[in-house]
Amino acid sequence: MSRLNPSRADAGRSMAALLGRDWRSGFSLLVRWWRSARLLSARLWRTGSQTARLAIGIPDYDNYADHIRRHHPGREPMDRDAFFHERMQARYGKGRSRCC
Amino acid sequence: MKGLSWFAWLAMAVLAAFSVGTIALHRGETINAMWLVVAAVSVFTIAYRFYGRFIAVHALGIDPSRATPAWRRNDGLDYVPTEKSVVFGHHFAAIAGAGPLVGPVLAAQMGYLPGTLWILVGVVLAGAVQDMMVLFFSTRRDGRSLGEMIRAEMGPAAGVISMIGILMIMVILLAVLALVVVKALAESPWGTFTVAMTIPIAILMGLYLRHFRPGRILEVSVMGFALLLLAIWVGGMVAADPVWGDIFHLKGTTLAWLMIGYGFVASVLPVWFLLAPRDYLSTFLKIGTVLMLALAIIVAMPELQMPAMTRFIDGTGPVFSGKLFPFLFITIACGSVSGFHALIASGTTPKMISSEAHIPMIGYGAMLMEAFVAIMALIAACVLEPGVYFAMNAPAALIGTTAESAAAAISSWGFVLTPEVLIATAKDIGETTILSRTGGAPTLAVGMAQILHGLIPGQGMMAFWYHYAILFEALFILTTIDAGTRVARFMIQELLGMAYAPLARTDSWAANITCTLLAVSGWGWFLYQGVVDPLGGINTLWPLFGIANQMLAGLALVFCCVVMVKMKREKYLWIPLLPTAWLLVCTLTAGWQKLFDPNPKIGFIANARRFGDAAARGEVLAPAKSIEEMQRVVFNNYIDAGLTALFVSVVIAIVFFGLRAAFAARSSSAPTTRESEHVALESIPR
Repeated sequence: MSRLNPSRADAGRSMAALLGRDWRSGFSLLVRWWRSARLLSARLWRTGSQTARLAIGIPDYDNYADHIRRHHPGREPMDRDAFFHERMQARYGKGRSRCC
Repeated sequence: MKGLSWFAWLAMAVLAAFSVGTIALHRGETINAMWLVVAAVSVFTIAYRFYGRFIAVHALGIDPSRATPAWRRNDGLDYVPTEKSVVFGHHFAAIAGAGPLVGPVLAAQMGYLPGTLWILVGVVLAGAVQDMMVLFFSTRRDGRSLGEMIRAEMGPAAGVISMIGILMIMVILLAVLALVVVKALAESPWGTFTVAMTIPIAILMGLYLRHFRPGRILEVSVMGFALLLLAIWVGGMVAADPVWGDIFHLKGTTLAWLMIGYGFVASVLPVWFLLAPRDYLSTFLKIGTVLMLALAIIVAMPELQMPAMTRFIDGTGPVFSGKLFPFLFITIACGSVSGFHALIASGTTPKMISSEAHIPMIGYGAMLMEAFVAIMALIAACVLEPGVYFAMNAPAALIGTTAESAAAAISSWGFVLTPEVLIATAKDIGETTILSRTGGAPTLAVGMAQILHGLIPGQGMMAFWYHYAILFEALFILTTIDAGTRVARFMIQELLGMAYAPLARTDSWAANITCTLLAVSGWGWFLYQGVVDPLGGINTLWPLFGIANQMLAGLALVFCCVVMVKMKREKYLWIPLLPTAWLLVCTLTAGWQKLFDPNPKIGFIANARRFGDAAARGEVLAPAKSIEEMQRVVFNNYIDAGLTALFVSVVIAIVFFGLRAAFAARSSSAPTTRESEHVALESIPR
């Protein structure tokens, strides 16, 4: 996680370099910073959507399919739609005792 | 949090002490809501870091090297090792309901101080402790449910008794929540229209997800949310229209019947059609609204108008009757300690925890967050003028039905109020009246509308925010009614199936319909009784619900105590024993007073006698209008008394079984607890 953090130092250095003479290395630093910022936001988005989906009872599909392929080689994982319906039924089929 | 030095923790402690002290000792006209926010945040941070960690590490002995059920039984579906923050979000969304928003609003009749202190102390020493312990024990037992664990550790009889207890709570919970919605929508065409529209919107979403684009939850939720906002906007026009306005202008009793019919139909429909899509909407809406409210309070920094303590701590309050002890402690149930969370903490969450080291954050931390929601609800109720608050929450039997009579009655209690204020407030929020809108939701809605309006002003925005808040609560509650009726039905099937086996067959339509009917008529009966209740229903039913919920918490905590003894960790028994003792004292005292208090406003039996004696003399007591109605009041009060007696006996029975199991465990020299076997995390192939 920390590797992906766009560091402030990077940004600062690239700004300084851009303003100064060494614009080439400043530019590449800026590109690096931008890439890691994008990676971080993609990761945040992924965690956020995973949390939101799990909050309504749907775990990660890729993780499920991966699990079945690795640990139960003879079985075919459900496809996305079947997985979605199976999870919906599992969550609500018997009602849900939610807190007051 | 690891980075904080001792100096920083010391500063945090000083801040906590100072802000709590300010809240407790402040005697000015108003106090800023930020004091409550700062006190809550600092107290919770310290409690989490020190008490929560202490319990986890020393009392429970969490073992990060031990494989959790998610690893041992990983199936990619129910049992999935999941990242800490993701499980936290899941768990919080599951425990967050309408309860922490309603209880503190009702408790505000005693002032902001008693409620705030009980939320702060209660959650740290009771609620969060219960949640974390149950979560831990369930994680050590393959994610078993509370009922199963009680059966395994305390015997089958205790299991059946707790199941009956849980079913009764379900019934009373559904009745109270349905009543909250009925009270909010009665005589309010705008509210009724928007809430009614949630049904076709959810069905549309269900069809979209089923046939058009399965699994696309984000887009369907955004679409549903947009339609909801549209429904609020159209609702304003519907209410203003003479013809349409009339159609959606419904009496409480009509709404109660609609609700009962809805509960029945919705709970036998397939889940993808209505329940699931609506739950998506309400889950996201709840999280979003809570975040928005937090932001609004922090930015707007409103002043609390309610005094620190009102004279109603003596038990004469109009919102609920009874003295501060024990009734404050059962009125704010969720938010301080909620038995329901024990069901969630032993449900899906323990099956997803990837390391025991995550348990403090998820068990203790999520409950602290819930308590913070309760503090915000309290703030929203207390930013209102006290006069307006009491006008909205006192029953018509006490304040009459006109702005003049209400203003006169409330002024006589010592809260300055003019009829003009009442009329103007009603007009601001787009309603014809705000009198006796009991049940907490409308008060919360006006409070929220006022705070949000402070941030985003504009003509008519007050009315929009009010109806948004009503919609948000109602959406949530309707989902709970639908899902809860299903839960109650399966419980009834399981219980009755013990006596007559064919009823337990969940695939049989006859058994299905019969047990759904039983479930619906159970809560429907209390709902209807609440709607026609002259004291406004909430007055009678909320204490019953509070007793039930705290009883469940007591049950879960007794179980925690028993397991601690069985683990041979008696040294730390005081941790669950302290809240257990307090909850037992509160529930049993409240139960006793509800049964036998000579004051007919508090005691069910005294009230039944009062009406019964008058009826025998041929007198008709207001608000009953005939001898038949008098008889009905008598009957209802005896039913309420019977239910209270049932709750009390469940508590006593569980304490008995708990003591028996604990003494049996003490006579053994080795731990007798039934945990699943120890498997090292390292031995699990990844």
